[in-house]
Amino acid sequence: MEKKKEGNLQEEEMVITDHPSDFQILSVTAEGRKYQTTFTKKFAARKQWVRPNPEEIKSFIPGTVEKILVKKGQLIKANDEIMSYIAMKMRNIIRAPFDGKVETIFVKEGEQLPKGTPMFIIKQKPPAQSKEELRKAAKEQRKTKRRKNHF
Amino acid sequence: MDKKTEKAIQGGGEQAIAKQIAMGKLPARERINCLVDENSFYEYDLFVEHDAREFGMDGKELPGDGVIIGTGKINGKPVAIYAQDFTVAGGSLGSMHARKITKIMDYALRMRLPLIGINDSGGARIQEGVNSLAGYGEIFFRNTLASGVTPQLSVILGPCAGGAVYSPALTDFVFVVDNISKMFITGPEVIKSVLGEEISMEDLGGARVHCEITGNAHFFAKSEKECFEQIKTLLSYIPWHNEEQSTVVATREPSKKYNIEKIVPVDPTKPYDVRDVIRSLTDNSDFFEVQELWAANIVIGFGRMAGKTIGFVANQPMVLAGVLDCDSSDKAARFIRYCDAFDIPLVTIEDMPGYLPGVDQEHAGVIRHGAKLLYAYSEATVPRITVILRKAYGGGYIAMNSRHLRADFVFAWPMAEIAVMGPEGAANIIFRKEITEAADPEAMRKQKVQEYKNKFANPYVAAAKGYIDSVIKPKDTRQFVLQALELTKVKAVGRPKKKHGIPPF
Repeated sequence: MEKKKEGNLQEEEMVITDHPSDFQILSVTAEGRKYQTTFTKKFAARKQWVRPNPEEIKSFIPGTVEKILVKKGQLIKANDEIMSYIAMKMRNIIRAPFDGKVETIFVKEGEQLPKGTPMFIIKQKPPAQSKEELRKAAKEQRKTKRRKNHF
Repeated sequence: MDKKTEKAIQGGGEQAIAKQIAMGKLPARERINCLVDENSFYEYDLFVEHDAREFGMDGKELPGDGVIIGTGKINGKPVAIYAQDFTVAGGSLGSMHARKITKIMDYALRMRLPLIGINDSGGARIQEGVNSLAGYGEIFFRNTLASGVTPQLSVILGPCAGGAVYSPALTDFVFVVDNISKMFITGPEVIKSVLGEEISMEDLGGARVHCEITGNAHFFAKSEKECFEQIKTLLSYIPWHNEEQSTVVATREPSKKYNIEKIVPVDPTKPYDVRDVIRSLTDNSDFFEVQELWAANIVIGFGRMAGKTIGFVANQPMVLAGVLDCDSSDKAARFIRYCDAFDIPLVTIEDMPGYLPGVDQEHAGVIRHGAKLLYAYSEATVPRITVILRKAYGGGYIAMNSRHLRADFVFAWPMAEIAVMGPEGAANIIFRKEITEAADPEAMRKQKVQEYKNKFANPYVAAAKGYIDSVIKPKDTRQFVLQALELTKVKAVGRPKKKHGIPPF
């Protein structure tokens, strides 16, 4: 089994090969030098960092959905209660992290969830622009228009 | 001399200073001026010059070798400060730069002054090679030596990468500022080239990451000015060194806005903000929270009672149901050890359903992290008082400063539930036979759960054994805690003679 990962620079790469003694060798080429080491289970199982989507509300603990307090399409404000969730002998209140609209509800009342289950998608309402910001944006637009006409 | 001084305090020159300001950062000298009391700063080693001769360094002038050291006063009391100057060679650390820092660290330890380190550096000066590393090593050793003797605060006001980042990690408190602080061991470029993982500098080691995810930082500020205010507030609470008590101020009653009886719901499944409970107990309802954004299921911070600084540790039911887990145990344990080192009494407010179960917790080592909490409490010889508000189950009951860990006083509210397991779980085990053999197992189960609840989910079983000192009314909590603090003022306990224990790291 061979897995190849190419890095930015030409010389750098990571190759995993089988060793006759039933473990795998990881060969890494970095800064012009080749290193060999055992490819451990822990490293293979490491969680790759994925940029979290702030609009996705996931369950933070295994538990049961008690009551869903919002409907699809509902407009909500930051800190509004959107769900009550039973876990660890407590009625945990899930709140909206920002102003927005409830786009999708993935779960139903009474459903038991493991940790990390997506429950809601809330489309964030973009922050209101002040008069000052709108004036600045308009000025920038006029500038670029003028520049374009130069040529 | 005036001409020399004038030149040296320009640092990297006007252009470099303008660049620094354009990045949203204050120049090093201005930072010091904002932080210390007016006209109280005395600088030392202004004319130190680097001694590197290789790689084009010979003949290069670096004012002060990129760092400013000195002493000043904060709230009228003397502190030792160093501030790295990003405008001089990128604030990079060479051997003389490090020599200056270690000098002020030695002064701080010798003269018993708190040390404030403003970090803003590109890292080791590559031209000076191993000498830079030697410099860092000398700094880390002194950080460790002074740990628990004089307070050490690190303020990250720029990049702090590679080896350099270990100095803040060794200090007591780390202050970060949004969009300005950057802390990581290996930067995004190396991570991308060796592992193929893409991430921006801010997402890898920005201020938010260290306040919310890694727990490396203790205080988050949106601007440098806010950060300096936080430093001054912290210094008003903590003792100046380990043989001096914190400043005692006049006692003020908590604000009427926080009525302890109205804050905590009787229904044990309903959450509330335990910080409101703390504010109902502290003088003037002032509470200075530490590490607010990380492991928020436990709350730690400083407040005053009877004018004296107290360290608070409290479970937070509105986050993660107030459970104990890896991160919250780490957070609390280190804070407890800090308070023990500096003779600050501890008040523990308990309302937790136990340790968080789960494979990811187990594999993350909740066993040895949870053990840190037990170790920290047991080891501490400062006055320790516990108030159990509602839930106190299982191993968490022991870990949260119980009588068995030699807490000085343990009080419980009448609605406290002190038991080994929740009624649901316990009934399933103890009455398994009755339930499986019953005609209607579900009804029998419900009945047995109620039976267990009535018999065990209260404080009286523990009180009957003297595990609780008193069952108290919520409205009397402040009174009882004040009395307990007064009684334990000159508490004297010993510990077996040893070089030091082996805490679960």
